[in-house]
Amino acid sequence: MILPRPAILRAVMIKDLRLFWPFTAAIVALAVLALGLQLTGLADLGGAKSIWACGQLAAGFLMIALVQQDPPSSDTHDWLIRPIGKLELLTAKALFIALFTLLPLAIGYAAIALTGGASPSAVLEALGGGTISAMVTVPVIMAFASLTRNIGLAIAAAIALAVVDILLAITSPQNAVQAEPVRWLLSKPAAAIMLPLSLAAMWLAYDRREMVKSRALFAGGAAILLMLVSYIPASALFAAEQALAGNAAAAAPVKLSMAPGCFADAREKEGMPSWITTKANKDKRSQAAEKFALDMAGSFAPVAWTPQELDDAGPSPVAFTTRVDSSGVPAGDRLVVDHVQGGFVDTQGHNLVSPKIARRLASTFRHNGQNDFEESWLMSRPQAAALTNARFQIDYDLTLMKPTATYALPADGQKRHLQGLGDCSFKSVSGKAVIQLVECRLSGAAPAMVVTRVDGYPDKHGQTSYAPKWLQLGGESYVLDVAPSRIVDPTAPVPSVTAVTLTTYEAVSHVHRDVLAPPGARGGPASACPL
Amino acid sequence: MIIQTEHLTKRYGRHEAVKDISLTVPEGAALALIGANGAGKTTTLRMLLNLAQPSSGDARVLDKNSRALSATDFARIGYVSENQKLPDGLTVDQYFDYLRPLYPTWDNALEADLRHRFDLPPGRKLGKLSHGTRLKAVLAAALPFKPTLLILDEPLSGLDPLVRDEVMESLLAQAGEMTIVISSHELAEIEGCATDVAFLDRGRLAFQEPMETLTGRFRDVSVTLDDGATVPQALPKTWLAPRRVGHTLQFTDTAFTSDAMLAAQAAALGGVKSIDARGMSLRDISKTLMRSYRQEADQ
Repeated sequence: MILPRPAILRAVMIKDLRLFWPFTAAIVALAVLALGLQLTGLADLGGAKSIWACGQLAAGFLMIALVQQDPPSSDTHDWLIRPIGKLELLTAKALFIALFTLLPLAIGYAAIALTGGASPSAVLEALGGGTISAMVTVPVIMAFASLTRNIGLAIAAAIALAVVDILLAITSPQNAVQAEPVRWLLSKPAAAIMLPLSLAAMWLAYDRREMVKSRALFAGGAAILLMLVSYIPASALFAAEQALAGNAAAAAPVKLSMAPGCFADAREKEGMPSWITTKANKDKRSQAAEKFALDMAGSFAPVAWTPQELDDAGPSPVAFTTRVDSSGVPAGDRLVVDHVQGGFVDTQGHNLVSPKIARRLASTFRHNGQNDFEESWLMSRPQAAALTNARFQIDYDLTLMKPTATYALPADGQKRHLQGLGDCSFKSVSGKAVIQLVECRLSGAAPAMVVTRVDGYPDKHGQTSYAPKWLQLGGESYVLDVAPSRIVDPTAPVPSVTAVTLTTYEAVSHVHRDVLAPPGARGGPASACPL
Repeated sequence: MIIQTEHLTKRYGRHEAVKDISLTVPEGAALALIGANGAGKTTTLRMLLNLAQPSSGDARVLDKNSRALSATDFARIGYVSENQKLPDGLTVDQYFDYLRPLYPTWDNALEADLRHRFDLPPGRKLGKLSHGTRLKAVLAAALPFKPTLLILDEPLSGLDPLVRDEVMESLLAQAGEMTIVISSHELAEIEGCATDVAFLDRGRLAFQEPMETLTGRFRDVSVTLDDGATVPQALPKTWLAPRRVGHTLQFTDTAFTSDAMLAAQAAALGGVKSIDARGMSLRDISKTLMRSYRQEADQ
């Protein structure tokens, strides 16, 4: 294999520029438009994000079309009989992507971020992180494009992969709140595997011209990775995180116990409307599920269970709520639930039935960083009747979080540099779903967790991850919505908010705890067992 | 040898497109690769250029395994095919701008001459060119770097006679300096420049020999017989497609050496009045062979 010759690189790039300049022009135009919206103060409108997304989409299409212009899968394309080395061709394509696709995006991004109040260092850090990210994703996109002959086939292949992903998610046997904070144990190695996999696929395609093997390697590798991501149990991930982190002693004093009292069978009081479980009207079903979630949680939740889960539970299903209290948590620390699953067990501890946990409800709103946890569960009425005297066991995978820094941020929308965190602003946005947002461009690695506290609202935390700092790209954007509970009653007055307190946390120790409810704890009337 | 293949075979599933082909092309030769549609000509050429991989066997091109042909080797190989997929969004000018830096031996004067001779519209996009003009553009792009080996796959297909002549003239002008392999059904045109002929029949190489030898051994023969003369059932196997029309026996002699030898063979028929043996064009030879092989296959 010969080293890339500048004259050849130049010739191929000029040829591609002559063919694809409209794409590059479109990307530049979209970036300029997004910048214009920023400068005119209209960036908060949804259009700005859409424009930016269009720019990224155009960039993706350009990358695919660029590679497919001179595909290895063909036996008729002109480049195959020209004195262009395979490495030269790929280098020319990669340089084109860098100069005429990513560079306009990066310049546009930097301009938008700087005019939006971000510091130059934060922007540079973000661009550095973006560069590293591009070094992984661009070869994957190029490999994907090189194995498909045209945009139509590329879209079809992408849809096929998405369908596989959805099928895997549907068929995944897990019935638990997913352990999002430890997902890095899958996502980072998956990205690390996809890079050499893509390079190997391109080597097979371009150098060996073994298209069948190349496609099999790439598609098979991607499918296996998707399968691993879907099928590796969250508990196994948590165990791996535990083993990597060590320091179990720090959380040794932490104990969980069932809150005294019983679990209300919420729906026994009113009975679940039958139209929840019919398929006649999808929107109606969603509204019904939402209403049900609202009733259950007492606060806004999009959907507690999916319509499919409600269907599966049969007519008039039973839902109940459990509450678990913690003790032994050092003052100021927080106990975060990473993964939870529950089931009815017999006297020997064997699992009888695992009710469906309200995943979104639990992961989004119940585990708000407080040291007590509520979960909602769904099961069929016959099952509930048969298990009146069975005991209910809940398994928790928990992480003890220690605060590292606290910051105050006025609600004036101005970007401020928070030492150790990044450039953040707090602003109110008029809209249907979210009224207050904290936006940060993190400098350095993201903290394991950031909690927002605003008077009049429950504490909230953003995306939590225990990924080691050395594995994180700098300059990530971070958005925290502060006040979702108002949506429960849209007519209620919005509390006046003048400032938000941000607290960053680090993970100290990961522990597993299980709690066992006595027989008959489920099923009290709502009046005796208030939600 | 510029090209040497040994037992070259290409299978697509159960179908054998090319079967066990061993051929050689010496430096300076102009090999005409001929055969019926589906005979395996294009597949063979594609294997020579590493556009298709052999299922078994080897092809050596410019003294290198075709699977290992590198960019520097392609700087010495020109290829013209009616199926070549060009960057259609480029204009003719832009296409040549793109190609020029790729070849260290590119001759700008020759490029200008060819483009002028072929009357290529500089500002028109390749995708908008007519079939003939497109082929001319491809040919004009294959010659200016003075390739050591020029491979032409149906370069005359769909061209009008005037353009065919232009193309052949350009080829002939360069022919002495390079080795040419040409696959075409326009045999009248390539007869003038081919030095060797390889005939493919249903994926197999039927024969390969110098043009002179081939045209020397093929004769279109008419034997006029006496009244009442009978033609025996068993005629020499080298007489193809024998047919009797009145008092005349017509056939193609594939092993002609001399008039005297033919007369001696014909004498065995008895009652021969006269013999007329005429030389055959490559086109006629090809047609006779194709017909004969088809009959053989049908039987």
